[in-house]
Amino acid sequence: MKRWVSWIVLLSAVLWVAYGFVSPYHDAFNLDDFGQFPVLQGGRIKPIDTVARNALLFMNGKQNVRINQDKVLPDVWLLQAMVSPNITDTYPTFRIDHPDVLALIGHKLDDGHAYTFKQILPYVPMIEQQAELARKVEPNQRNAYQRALLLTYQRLMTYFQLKNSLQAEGWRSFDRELMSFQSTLYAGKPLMVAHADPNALSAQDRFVLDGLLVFYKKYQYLAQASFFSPIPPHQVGDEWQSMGSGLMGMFKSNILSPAIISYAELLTAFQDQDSGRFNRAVASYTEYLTKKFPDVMFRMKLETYFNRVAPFYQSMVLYLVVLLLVLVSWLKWPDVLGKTAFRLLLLAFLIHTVGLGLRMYLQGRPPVTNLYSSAVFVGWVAIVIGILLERIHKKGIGTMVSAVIGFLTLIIAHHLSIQGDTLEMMQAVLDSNFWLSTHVVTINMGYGGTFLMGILAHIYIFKSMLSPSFDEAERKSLKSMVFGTACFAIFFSLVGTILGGIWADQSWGRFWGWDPKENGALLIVLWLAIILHARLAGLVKERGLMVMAVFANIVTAFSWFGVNMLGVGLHSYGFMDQAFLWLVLFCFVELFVMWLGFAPQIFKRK
Amino acid sequence: MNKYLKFRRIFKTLSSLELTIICLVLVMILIFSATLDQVHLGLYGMQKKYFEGWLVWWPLRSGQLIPVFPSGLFLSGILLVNLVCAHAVRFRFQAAKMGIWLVHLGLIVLLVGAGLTHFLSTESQMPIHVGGAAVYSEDVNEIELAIIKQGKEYDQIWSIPEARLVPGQILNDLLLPFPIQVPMNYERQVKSWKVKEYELVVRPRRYYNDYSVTLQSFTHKQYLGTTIPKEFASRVHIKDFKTGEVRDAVISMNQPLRFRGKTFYQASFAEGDKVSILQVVENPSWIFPYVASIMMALGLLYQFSWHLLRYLKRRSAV
Repeated sequence: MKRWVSWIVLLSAVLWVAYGFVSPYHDAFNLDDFGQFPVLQGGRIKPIDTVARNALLFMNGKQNVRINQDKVLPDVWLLQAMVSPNITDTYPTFRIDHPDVLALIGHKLDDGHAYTFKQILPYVPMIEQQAELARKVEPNQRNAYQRALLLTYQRLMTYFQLKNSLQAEGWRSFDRELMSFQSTLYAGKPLMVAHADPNALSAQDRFVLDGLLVFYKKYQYLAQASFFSPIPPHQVGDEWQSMGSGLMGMFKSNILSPAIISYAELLTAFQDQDSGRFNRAVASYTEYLTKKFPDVMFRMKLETYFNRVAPFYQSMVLYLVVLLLVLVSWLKWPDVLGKTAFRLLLLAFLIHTVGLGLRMYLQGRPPVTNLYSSAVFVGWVAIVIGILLERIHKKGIGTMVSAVIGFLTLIIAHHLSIQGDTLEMMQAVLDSNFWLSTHVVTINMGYGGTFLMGILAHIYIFKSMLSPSFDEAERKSLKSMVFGTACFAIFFSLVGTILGGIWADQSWGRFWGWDPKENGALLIVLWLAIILHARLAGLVKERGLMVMAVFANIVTAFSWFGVNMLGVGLHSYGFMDQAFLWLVLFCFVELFVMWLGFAPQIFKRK
Repeated sequence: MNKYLKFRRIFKTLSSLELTIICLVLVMILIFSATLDQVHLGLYGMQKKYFEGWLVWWPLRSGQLIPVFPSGLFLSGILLVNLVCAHAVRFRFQAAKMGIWLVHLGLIVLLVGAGLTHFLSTESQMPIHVGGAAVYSEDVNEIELAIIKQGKEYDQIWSIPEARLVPGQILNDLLLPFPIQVPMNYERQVKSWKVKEYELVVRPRRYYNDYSVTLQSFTHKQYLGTTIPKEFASRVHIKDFKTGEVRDAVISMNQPLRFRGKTFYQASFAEGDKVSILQVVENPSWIFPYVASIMMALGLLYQFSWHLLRYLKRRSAV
C-alpha cells in the first residue's frame, strides 16, 4: 500500500502536467493556429495569443473573462473584440480597485471590481480629463488615486486600440471594405497621377478622388489607433506595419499583402460564423508564413505552447503539493512520503527549468531581465541549493525549503506578470547581455541564497518550539546548512555587487553611484558579513545566528522589492502599490518570527 | 609602562571584531536612510549629506544644524583603521586563513581607492550641439569665479575654484590681477558683472581640454511602436591641438570613449535630440576597485572551496 502511494502521486502529477498541453479550444474554429500568427507589439514580434493574454491580464488581472459560469478564452475574446465589439463591450473586463476611481464612475467598493466598457463609457471624458491632470504630476510624486486613475485610463486606451488593430471598429465586413477600397483605388489612382491641378478635374473624377480621400483618412486614423502591427515585412529591410499603414501602402504600390487578404477573409468568416472559410483562411496564411518566416513561426509556436502550458504555474502548484507531502511525512510514513516529496520536487524543478530555458530562448537573453524573471530565477537558484542540501543532509529539510521558496517566488512572479508582457524589450542602458548574465545573475543568486538561509532559520525556530524530537544532531545539521548558505550568499552578493560597480564604471565612469538597487545589494553583503563576523567573534550562539538569518530576509526583501518602490534610480522598473503593503506585512511577520526565535528561552524562564 | 598599557588597550579596541560589527551596523543604517532620503534630496544632495564630510547634520526647526550620525567618510575611515590594526595584530601565515586575509586586503584596497577617488576624480558634463564643438566640460555641482580680460588676439582668464572662495577671505595671489575679498555670504548662482576692463563671472566650474570634441551626429532610436529607448549614440570627431592627432569615434551606452586620461560617456540628450550630453570623468585611481574586486573574489573562492573540500573529506571519512 505504502509503495503504491508514491507511484499514484507521481503518476497523477505527470498526467496533470501532460493535460496542460491539450488545447483549451474545442470550437469548430481553428483558434490554435490563429493564435500563432505573429504581430509586432511593444517592439517585439509575438504571437497574437500572447497579445490577447497580456491585454486581458493588464486590464483584468486574469487571462480570460468570466461571464456567469462561462469562460471566454483570450483568442476568442480578441476576435470578438475585432468583429463584434458591441459584445465584448458588455464583458466585465476592467478591474477597478481604488474607491475614488470607482466613485468617479458612480460605483462603490461593494459593487465589485470588474466593470464593462459599456458601464464606463459615459464617464470616459471625465476620466480623460482627470488623467490629463494626473499626468502633469511627476511620476514619483503621484498619489495612489492618480496612479490608479492613470492605470484605468491606460487600460481603456489599450482596449480601444486593440479593437482597432486588425480592422476599424464598426466595419461590418472587412471583405466588403477591401473590395470597395480596391475598386475606388482602381478608378482613382490614374486620376491622382494625371491631374496635379484639382481644377482640371471633371465632377465625376472629383467624386472618385473625394471617395479615395475618405479611405485615406480612415486608414490614417486606423494606423494611429492600432495596438499592434500585424503585417509582416514584404521584403528584406521593410518594417512591420499596422493594418492602417498596410492599407495606405496600396496608394503607392499595387501589391496587396497576403496578410491583409487573409485577415480580411478570416475576420469576415468569423463574423459570419463560417468556420470552414475561417479555417481555410487560417491554413493558407499559416502556410504562407511558414514558408516565408520559418524561424519566426517556430518561435511563435513555442511561445503559444509556453503560454498554454504555463510551466511556472504548474510548478507552483506542484511545489505546494511537495510542501504538504513533507509536512505529512514528518507525522506519518517518513520514508515513503519523504521520498515521494523529493521525487515530485524534482519533477516540479524540471518543469521550472524548462520554463526558464524556454524564456531565455524566446528572448535571446540571460535569465533575468526584469523583476518578474528575477522572481522566477531566484526561486530556481534556491531550489538548486535546496536539492543539494537534501542530498547531503536528508530528513526532508532541503525538500521543504525548496518547496516553500519555489511556491513563494512563483506566486510573486505570477502577481508581477499582471503588469504586461514579461518578455519586454530592454532599455538601451540595460541592453548588454554580458552584464546581464554576470552582474544581474550573480546578484540574483545572492538573493536566492539569502532567502534560502532565512527559510532554513525559520525551520530551526519552528522546530525548536514545536517539535519534541528536535535533537542535537538535527540542530547541528541545520546550523551547518545556515552557515553554508550564508557563505554561498555572501560570495555571490559580493561578487555581484562588485560586478555592478564595474558595469557602472564601464558605462558612466563611476564605480559606485549610490544607485538604490546597488545600495540594497550592498546592505545584503553587509548584513551577511555582520552575521559571519558575529558568529566568528562568538558574539552570537546558535539561536542568535538563526534570528540574524531571519532578519536577512527583511534586508533582502527591501533590496529586491523595496527600493523599486522608491521610484528613483536606474532599476526602478514598474511601480507596485499593493506590493508595498505585502512588503510591510512580510517585514512584520519576519520580526515576529525573530521574536519567536528568542521565545523558548522566555518560556523556559517561567 | 602605564602609557604602554594604555596604548595597547586602545590598539586592542581599534583592532577588535566588536568595533567592526558596530561600524558595519552603523554603515547599514546610514545606507538605508540615505537610500530613502534620496527620493527627497536627489543623488547629489544625498551624497553630500550622508557620505561626505565627517558627520550627518540634521536641521532643527529653528534652522540650526545638529550632528546626528557619523558620515560615510568617517565610518569608512574607522573601518579602514580597524582593518589595518586587525591585520597587524592577528596576521599569521596559515593556509586555512589565506582566503580571509585576501578578502580583507582587497577591502583595504577598495577603501583606499574610494578615498582617492573622492579626492582626486572629477566628473563633468559636456553638452554639444550637433555640428558644434566643445573644448571644455562643466561641473554643474560646483561653481568658479572667472576673471576675464579681453584682449585683441586672445582673452586672459583667471579662474578661482569654489573651494578657495571662503566667505570673508581675501584672495591676494600674485598671479591674480587684483586682490579679491570674498563676501561674507554669497549665492551660488550664475551671474556676471564688470569691474573696469575686467569681466567677472560666477559660472559652473569648467575643465578645459587641449583638444576639441565635435559632435557630428546623434542617434536616438526607439523600439518600433514603443517609447522604449533602444540606442543612444554620438558620433564625434576629436582634434588634438597639441599632437595634431585627429580621429573619429562613436560613443554609445555601455561604449565609452577613453582619450588622454579622460573617459567620455553617453549620458543624456536635450532639445529634441539636437544636443548630446556627454559625461566626462577623470579618475586617476580607477584601477583600485578592479584590483580590489579580483582580490576579494579570489579570496572568497579560496576560502569557501577550502571549507567545502574539508567538509566533504570529513564526510567521506565518516
